[in-house]
Amino acid sequence: MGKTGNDSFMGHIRPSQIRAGALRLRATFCLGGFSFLAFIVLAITGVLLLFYYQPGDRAFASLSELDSALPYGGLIRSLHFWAGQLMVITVFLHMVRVVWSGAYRPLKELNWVTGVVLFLLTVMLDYSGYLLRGGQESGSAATVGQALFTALPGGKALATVFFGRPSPFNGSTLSMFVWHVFILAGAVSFLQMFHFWRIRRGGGVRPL
Amino acid sequence: MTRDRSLYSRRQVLSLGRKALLVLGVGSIYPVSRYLRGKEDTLAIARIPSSELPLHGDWQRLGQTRFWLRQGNEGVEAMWASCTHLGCEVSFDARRDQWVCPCHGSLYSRDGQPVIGPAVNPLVRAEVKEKDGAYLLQQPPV
Repeated sequence: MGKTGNDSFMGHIRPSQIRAGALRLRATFCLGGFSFLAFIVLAITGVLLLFYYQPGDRAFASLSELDSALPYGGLIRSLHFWAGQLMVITVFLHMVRVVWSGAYRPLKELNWVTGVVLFLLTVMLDYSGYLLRGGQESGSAATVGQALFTALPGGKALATVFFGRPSPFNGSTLSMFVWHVFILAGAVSFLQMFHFWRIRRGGGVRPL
Repeated sequence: MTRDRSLYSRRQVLSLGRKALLVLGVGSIYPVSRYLRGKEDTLAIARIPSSELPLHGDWQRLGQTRFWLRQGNEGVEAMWASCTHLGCEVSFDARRDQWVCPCHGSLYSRDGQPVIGPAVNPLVRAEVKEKDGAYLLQQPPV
């Protein structure tokens, strides 16, 4: 497991040397890359949505306005939605590929653990995004989520941290908003950088 | 690369990707700028071209919204279908000729006047503005 590339930032992004096998499509199916692509789309469209989305009681109404009254609003919202769905799927398939090719084994175990955390964060992002829509389905999903949380020891406190005020129907989109936009998305972008850095340190992937 | 069996080299694929990104970036300038300059329209919750209005008969629901429309004597009228009791979504029952609230059974006449409680206030009309061959509907502050 020699290290390739050099230690500069650009060297990590575009290394001068890379293992030939790691470039083969069958080695990775580029699933991590697709996940990252989806994340970039999510970040860009997410920032655009922030210009109009209003967390709290106006959540659903502001999204209705975005859909119907803003030029290309529906397109940007749909892109955000579908990129989110795609990311959950590709991240999952990425993990299946890693297990399949045994890429979680020592020297890469830290990156596997990072990846598992990233998977959990991705699912939480998807879930919190679903709640941010502020529709009736979001209220039901929040009720289920809160019930799951409270089943944990100390879960009541956890649920309050995550969902905000007790009522799932009103106001909880505000605390969910902070988690979705700042904490979860921020944690994902930070861990992603670490994840990619570890791939280069580990010398890239071995072919199947 | 040990063996070069592929149609394209890595370099070619990367440069193709760069060009695709450029095209995508330039192509998104127009929709994104339209989107960001669209603030004037956000007062309206819905915009419908005049040609798509239901012009016959009774109250008709507009898509997935709480707006109901009908052609009145003085142009298009819009009803905001939220019960004035606790805000449940009411719907117009054409057979009974009444608005019905599913939550606590409030009934309103076809013009939105309360008939049977618990609601005591009439249904709220939504404001309709005509602009550029389209109707803008505004959600009333309820």
